[in-house]
Amino acid sequence: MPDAISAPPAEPHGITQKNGVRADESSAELTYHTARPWWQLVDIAELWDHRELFWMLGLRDLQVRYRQTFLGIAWCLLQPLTSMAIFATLFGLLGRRPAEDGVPYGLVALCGLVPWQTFSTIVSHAGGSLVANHQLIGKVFFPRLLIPLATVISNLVDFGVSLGIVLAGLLIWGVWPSWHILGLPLAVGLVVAAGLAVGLGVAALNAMYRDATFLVSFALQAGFFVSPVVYETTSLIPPRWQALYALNPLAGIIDFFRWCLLPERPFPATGLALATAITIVVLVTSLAYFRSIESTVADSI
Amino acid sequence: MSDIVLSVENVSKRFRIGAKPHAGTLREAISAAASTAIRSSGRLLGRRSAAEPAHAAAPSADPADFWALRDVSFEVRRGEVLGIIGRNGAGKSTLLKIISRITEPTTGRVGIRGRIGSLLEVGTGFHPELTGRENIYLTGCLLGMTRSEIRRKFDEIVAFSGIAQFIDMPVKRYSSGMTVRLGFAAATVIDPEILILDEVLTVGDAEFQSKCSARIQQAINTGDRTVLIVSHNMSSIEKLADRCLLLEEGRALIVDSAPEAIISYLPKATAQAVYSAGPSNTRPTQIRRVEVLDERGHPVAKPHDQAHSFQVRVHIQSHISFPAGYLAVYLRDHTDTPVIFSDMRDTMPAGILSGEATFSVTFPGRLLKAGSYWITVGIADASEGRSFDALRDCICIVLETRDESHRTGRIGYFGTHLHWQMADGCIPPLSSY
Repeated sequence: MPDAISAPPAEPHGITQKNGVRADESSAELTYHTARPWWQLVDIAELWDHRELFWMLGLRDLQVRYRQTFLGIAWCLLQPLTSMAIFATLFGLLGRRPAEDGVPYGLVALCGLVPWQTFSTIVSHAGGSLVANHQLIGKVFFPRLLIPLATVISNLVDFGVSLGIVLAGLLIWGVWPSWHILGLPLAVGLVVAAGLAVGLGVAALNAMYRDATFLVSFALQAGFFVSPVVYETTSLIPPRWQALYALNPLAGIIDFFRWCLLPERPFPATGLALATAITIVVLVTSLAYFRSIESTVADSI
Repeated sequence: MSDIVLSVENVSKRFRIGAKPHAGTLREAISAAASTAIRSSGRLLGRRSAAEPAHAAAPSADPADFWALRDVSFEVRRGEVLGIIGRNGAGKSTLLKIISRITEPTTGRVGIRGRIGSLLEVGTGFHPELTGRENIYLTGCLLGMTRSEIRRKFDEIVAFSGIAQFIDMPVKRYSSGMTVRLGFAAATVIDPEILILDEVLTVGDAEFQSKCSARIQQAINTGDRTVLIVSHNMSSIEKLADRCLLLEEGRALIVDSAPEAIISYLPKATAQAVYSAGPSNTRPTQIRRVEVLDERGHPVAKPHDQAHSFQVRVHIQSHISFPAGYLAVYLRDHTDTPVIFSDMRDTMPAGILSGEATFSVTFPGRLLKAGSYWITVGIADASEGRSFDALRDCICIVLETRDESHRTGRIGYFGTHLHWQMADGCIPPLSSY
């Protein structure tokens, strides 16, 4: 049997003609789309060529979601508000307040619930996106990475709306944000990055092995309690466990999120640094796995 | 050299079937990995078991491998229309997917010059909740067009589809016919240098189909469009394609003339000029033998001169009498189109008696043009309105023109010489012939 694809042609990689570019026919060379070099996880040029498709896919999800349900946008608010009410009642009945003083518990919970919800919906939507779009994958060519990436668009819109409610809540309770709020874009970016880091890996796993979804929903359920969503790290986790606890990137991210919005909280330096580092490592690993299955996913999906 | 826009080089595609080695679930993958780890650590420790099979089999010999394409190589020039034909499962769709970059070949490579637009399915990407308008933009975007291009061609798309008044309704309310019309209309506006069509010519009603064929023909005629068509519709292939690629069980063969390729592709009828069947207990009446003979009563030569007549002789056996029974015969050409039909009642009264009988029907010379024809014979009953026995495409007869002055092919189905005369004008001198 002949060996796998031979060496790429004389053209330097990355400057080959792509589907979205009108060939100006000045080049008389045939383009061979061979495998990317191992260190190139993402073909930025190719993604940029298909940027319109990225927006169309994201827009499509948004339109479909908000056309189907009468409540539409309200759904993304209902979940954190209901969870907040439930946990506030629960902790009230238990007689415990796992949060620092100075701010009503409800707001502290909201500041944890909103980023967690975004993370978890990014993971589940991105994770299932390849399988949900299997018809497209089998019939049209475009960089497969666009599919999970496009799910972030509608999730970001939801995030924006929920954030608006949180800010409104803070103002109503007289909690004015300080200059810490400037860190919010970074916090948002980290939540999205963490969601994608896990979501891409799950998407690839799901496309190859259909039972990965069960693992993921279980992991997310466990993650909800292992992350400081309805409590604060400093109030609940004993000091000797805090180092181990910090290995959960969501811990650092949510703590940072709270630092941005709520007053009198210490800057979670180590937590944030660890979270960023772990997110980057997971993101790179997921991208590498995704890339390894990308070219033949159409066969097994 | 610079004229080649597509070069497929030694492309093979393997699919792994069977339970191993690709696990369907994570659980299986993990347990498979664990058992391999345990086995290889056992080997490391020197405990080689005698029962362990030698993994010396080459990958290609693995029975769990299915090679959909084997070493396919061909080139396509700019402006050419290549028809790709083959049975179901021959590897046509896989080849198109590889050329369209939807999946990667296991070995080999594909070289492309220019933009490729693939229409592998009509209505790809349609979402039922979105309106027709929104779906047009989505489809156009999937096929590689920009929003501004789509906006420019929007009215043309809607006009072509013929569903302008429903364009702002969600697609889930459309009938399947409307969806198909919209899907095809949205897809026809792509204008790539290389167009790939996978059996999309078969959608819609007859009127829409002819609109689609015309549109594709227009795309072919205007400028240097290179087109690859996969179709089971042999008349479309014959009409549109210059050359054909014949795929059989993963292997490809380029045939330079479309009609020749189509003839090789169609099921081969028996090589002999005789077809016989043993006696049957279940049928009350049965065709026992069919022969094709020339005008002298000898088995017809292959090819047979179309200027001479031939007869189809049918020997039947019947257990009971059918007063309204009759024999019928028809011929089909290489595109599966029935060309001529005749039944016994044309010149004889109906009626089949019990026992054995032999009938023959004569096809006059110069009736049909040169080509291959498949003969179908049947016994039917007019009063019961059904057929008792039918032998479809049982014998193939090949007609050829031996007349030198008529070497160029005829179109149409007939080879009849009509009467010509000159009503006016000069007779050219003989020497100018």
